[in-house]
Amino acid sequence: MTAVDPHLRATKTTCAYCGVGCGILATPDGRGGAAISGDPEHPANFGRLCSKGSALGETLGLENRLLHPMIRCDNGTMERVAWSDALDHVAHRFQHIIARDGPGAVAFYLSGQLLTEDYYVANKLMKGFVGSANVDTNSRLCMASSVAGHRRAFGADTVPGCYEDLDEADLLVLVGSNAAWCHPVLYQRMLVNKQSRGARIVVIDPRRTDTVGDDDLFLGLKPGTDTALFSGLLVHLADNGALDRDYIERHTSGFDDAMARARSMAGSLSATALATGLSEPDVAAFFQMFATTPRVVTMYSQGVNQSAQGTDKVNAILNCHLATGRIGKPGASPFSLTGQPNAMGGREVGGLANQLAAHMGFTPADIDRVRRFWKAPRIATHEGLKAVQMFEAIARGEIKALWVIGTNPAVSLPNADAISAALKKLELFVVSENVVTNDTVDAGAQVLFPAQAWGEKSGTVTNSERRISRQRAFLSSPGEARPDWWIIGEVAKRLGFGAAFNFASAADIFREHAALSAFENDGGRDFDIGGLQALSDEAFDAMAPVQWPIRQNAEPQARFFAEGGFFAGEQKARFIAPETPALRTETTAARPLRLNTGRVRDQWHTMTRTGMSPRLGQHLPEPFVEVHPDDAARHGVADGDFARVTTDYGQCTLRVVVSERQQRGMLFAPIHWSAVTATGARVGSLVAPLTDPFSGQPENKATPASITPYEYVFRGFALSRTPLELPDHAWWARVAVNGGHGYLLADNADLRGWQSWLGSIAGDDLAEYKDFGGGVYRAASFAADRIETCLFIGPARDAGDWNVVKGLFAADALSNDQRRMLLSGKSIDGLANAGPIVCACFGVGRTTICDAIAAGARSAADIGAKLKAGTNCGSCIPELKRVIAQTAPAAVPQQLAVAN
Amino acid sequence: MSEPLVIVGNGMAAARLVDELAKVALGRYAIAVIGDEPRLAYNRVLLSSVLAGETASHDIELRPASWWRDRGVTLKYGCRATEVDVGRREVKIENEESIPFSKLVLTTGSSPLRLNVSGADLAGVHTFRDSRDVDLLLTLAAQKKRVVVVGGGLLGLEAAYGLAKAGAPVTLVHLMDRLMERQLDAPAAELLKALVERKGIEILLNANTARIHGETRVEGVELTDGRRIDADAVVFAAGIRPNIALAKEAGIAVNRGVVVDDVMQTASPDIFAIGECAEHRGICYGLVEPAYEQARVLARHLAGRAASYSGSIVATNLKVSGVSVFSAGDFVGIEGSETIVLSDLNYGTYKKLVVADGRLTGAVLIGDVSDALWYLELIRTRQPTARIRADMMFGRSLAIRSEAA
Repeated sequence: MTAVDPHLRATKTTCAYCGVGCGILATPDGRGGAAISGDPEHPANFGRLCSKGSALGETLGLENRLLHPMIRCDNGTMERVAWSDALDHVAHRFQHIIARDGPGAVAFYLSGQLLTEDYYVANKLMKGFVGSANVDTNSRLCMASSVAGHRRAFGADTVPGCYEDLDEADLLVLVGSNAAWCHPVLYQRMLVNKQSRGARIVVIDPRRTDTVGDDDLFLGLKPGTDTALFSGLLVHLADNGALDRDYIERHTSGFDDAMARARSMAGSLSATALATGLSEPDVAAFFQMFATTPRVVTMYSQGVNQSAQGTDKVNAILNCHLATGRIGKPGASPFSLTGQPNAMGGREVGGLANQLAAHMGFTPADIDRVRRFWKAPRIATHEGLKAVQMFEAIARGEIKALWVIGTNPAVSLPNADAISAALKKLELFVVSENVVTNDTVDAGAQVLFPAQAWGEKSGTVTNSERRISRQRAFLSSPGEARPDWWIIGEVAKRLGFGAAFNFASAADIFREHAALSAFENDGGRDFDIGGLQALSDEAFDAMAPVQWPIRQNAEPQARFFAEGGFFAGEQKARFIAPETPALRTETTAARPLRLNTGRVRDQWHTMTRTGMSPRLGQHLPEPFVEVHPDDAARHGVADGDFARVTTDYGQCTLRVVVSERQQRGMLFAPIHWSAVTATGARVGSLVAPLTDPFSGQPENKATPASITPYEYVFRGFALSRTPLELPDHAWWARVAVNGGHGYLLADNADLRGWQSWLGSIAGDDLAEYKDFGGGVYRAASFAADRIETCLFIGPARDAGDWNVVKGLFAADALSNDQRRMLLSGKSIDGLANAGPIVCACFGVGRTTICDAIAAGARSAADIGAKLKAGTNCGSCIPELKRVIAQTAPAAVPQQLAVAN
Repeated sequence: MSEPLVIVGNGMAAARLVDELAKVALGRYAIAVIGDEPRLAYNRVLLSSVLAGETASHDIELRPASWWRDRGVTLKYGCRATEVDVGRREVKIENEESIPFSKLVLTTGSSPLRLNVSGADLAGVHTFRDSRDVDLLLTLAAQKKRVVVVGGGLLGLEAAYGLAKAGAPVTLVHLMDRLMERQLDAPAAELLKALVERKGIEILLNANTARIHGETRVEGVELTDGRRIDADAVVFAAGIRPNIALAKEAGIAVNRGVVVDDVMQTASPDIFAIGECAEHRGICYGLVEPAYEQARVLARHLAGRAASYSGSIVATNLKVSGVSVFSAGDFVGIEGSETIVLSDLNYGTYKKLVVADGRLTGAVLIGDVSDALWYLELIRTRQPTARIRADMMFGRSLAIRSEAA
């Protein structure tokens, strides 16, 4: 941990990453950094943090930070401008385009990493004042299917349970969720339950992930068949007397249709097994466990959501919980695990194109209510374009102005290369960002607004269990960075909406947001935090984590729906009859495999933050594709080698990981790498842009693909104190390392090209190892005894040990031996080392001679008798005498001491 | 009765031969050693160390008088052998009686070459070969005389280093475009030059001495390109010539050196030659290591044992002007060979390994010579090195570990 001035106080805030929403204590070090620890009092984590959260302190540096507004000049370069100029320009251009082409020609694309207050202001501006619902968010890629599923079943986007249910359940079912890596703190909570209470865990996933423990039941089903599995479960529950007939009767509708559909789809164990590719005993074991365990929580995540039938999958799961009445009860509930720190807050303000605001939709009553509350001159009256459709409209030229806030769609959206191309067509392309370069900025952003980053901004976020927590600033804003809400508000004022955007603080916005949630809310809307609408600034600052709803003059409520009280007609939940599972695409001879995508443990989204942490860079430093051994053999790819993965949309070049954990016929590649962190590893560019009809969420996990070996003759790595511009021909992946920047490399070009490339960037103090015949070139440049830049290129087996060299690179000074052996690329630990040679004839080193002196040798002749040194040509005898003179006296006091 | 064995020459080869004979044939021969230097045999390699003030002159004696006495050796130093009478088996000694031999060994060594330029005979022109030369050079240095050393080989560098350390301003002129061209490739020579220059020695390459100026004493050196260097003294260190006069006059076959076979015997039976004066298979060695190998072979032969010398793979393995230098085998890299190079010039390290046909065939090391002997062994034994190619540069212990892994 970094040393911290005791006078600097710890600030309570929440983590920047996933939807668990862990509480953090951040103690600034007074030099722009901070010590990070878990907040023991936060009910999401009780002091625990995962690897990503723990490393937040390593991500606070200002390298690559966007510090000033910038505008792209005619020659394509970005130039710094004053805030007022940038704001005037953006407002003027928006105004012009809206006047000319109507409000449908502009759009906002937001982020689940925005604070609720930022989200609120953006949503209000677009939907209430510009008059378009073209506000969507990267949450569309994350949990839109859950939102749609909730709304279809419950009449509202309500998460019925809370984290305590994970402690109290006897059966934890994870569907399409690698919680061990993606929601580690919750996963730890489940493990505690498993160990202390004996809860069983079932993992349903096409991929055997680290979430699967040795003694858990793992159901490695065929991709996209979750609906069949849960339909089979519904049938099993009905046939085995496990239904809660009373709950179904009193609180639900549509059960018979749903049951009939389930029977037609998976009417028996064998039909379920056939539809899902699972074995009957496994299916039976799961069904029996579910049927006989009242306290069951079914958690689901991207494996369910990121699907062209994601909404149906959600409803198939919800059907089983509704049919057993296991909802909103301690230890019994369906549970959507959200991916982002404030996906929930975004849903609450209505920052999605198919929501209006505050869990209200586009019904005439809702539109009217929101219009009156906002005093909105031009309220949107129908849904806007959801993410994938929004960017298709940009590609068609229908949307002419786009403002991206806090997200990187050129990496994360499906068919990402087409997204990059579409962005170039925009007449106005504005990005509010923390970083000065990423794939989206580099796709031609014309105006960059420097937004405050995590640790600088202040407001609220809501986690997966509806808990609103404060994110607080503990660092001052660097450069001219401003809060997102301020930036949006300034543009709104310049568009003539000053009166409605005259917010002085995040607290101001929060109060209005809270007031809207309670406005004419007689309990007909789930989202109500009216109890917070009169918070003072001080109370807002001090606000402890709190779960909604927080109705005025009402008791707190941790769960929903145990006694019904749904938000659909007659307060009843609706059973949904899902469609028979069918992926939207088919494999072919040319695309025989399916590409699944996902996350790795220690990276987050497009790595703009986690990519700065050396600690996080250690786990899986390279973009890779995981493939089953049989498929690897069939397609001629080998573990550790490279392969080209090709779909109808794009191509990537990735390291191959051959693993039994991967299902036959499936590939898996992580989503994190972008054009600024690697070459040829934009996995989003491979993904088909096919979406769910209800949620608009794309099917990111089943794109037909092919894999072919790709040979690189040379592998290697480079380390540098400053970022490197690598040669165009090289494959590379950037890795944060202690003391600078690392790059893992592969290449087919001539080694001499690398030598001249290094020569062009390295200083004069250069060490080189050249074995061109053996295909090896290694070099390091130094400043004093510190490595400045080093490059190791060689055949795959001989590129040098990345970890060893990384360790030496981190050092401020190399010892003589370290420098001598650096370019071996190998650890010198445990190697015999005689020291610098004194006797050349017999190869006797200084260290060996000193050892002999320590053992009693007192003359050159003594040494000669022991080591032969000096007994041939004798030219080292003078040096032997010097060594004796320098070394031996030290032994004298020791002997005296012994004598005394 | 012991057979009379006479050794002419009282240098390092002679001392080693006596040592080896004592091991394998003690008492078989009555040995007499005749040498013209007026002192006990000393370590010639250390003369530069004496010149540099790092070692006292008396400390370089190879063996004390008692050692020779204990081995029954009749030492006649400060005596010049003037003639070998092959037929009568006698060696004539200046101002003394001849001594008879049953076996004769020539270890007459070599002499420095003096360039055939005008002024080469002026006062202040020296060589660097023996103890007496060192005494003269020390006197020059003590007077801060400006010295030009002619010759950028091992000997010239040693002389220049010693003189500079002893306090003389030194300029070294060398005919070739690089130092020690017979041992070093261009980058190694360049690094050595830089390291030697750091010690305050000025080095001129492509510098061909045209004449030495001076009335009676040296005043300067003129090069063929017209450059002129003011100097008070000149030291010739531009090569050596085997001392073969004695043999030649005796009718013993000579070429550049005294021609010997694989047991070090000359064309005349019972007469042998080893060390710098000998020529074996067309090669005259100028280093101590081959002389020692030859001494060992000859001692065994004289002891009646089977022994054969098949030549030495010459390795240079020394400190040159305080810089560790190693060179062995094909250090340039002939066609068909590959080179592996490690250089860290600011750190004073240059290492080149030459491989051909999966074997190490040559090496040059400057600075870091820790694994020199291992390389020499690999070169001499012609072991396959393909498996250790990746680690060979970084030393034996790493290569062994990797091979074991």
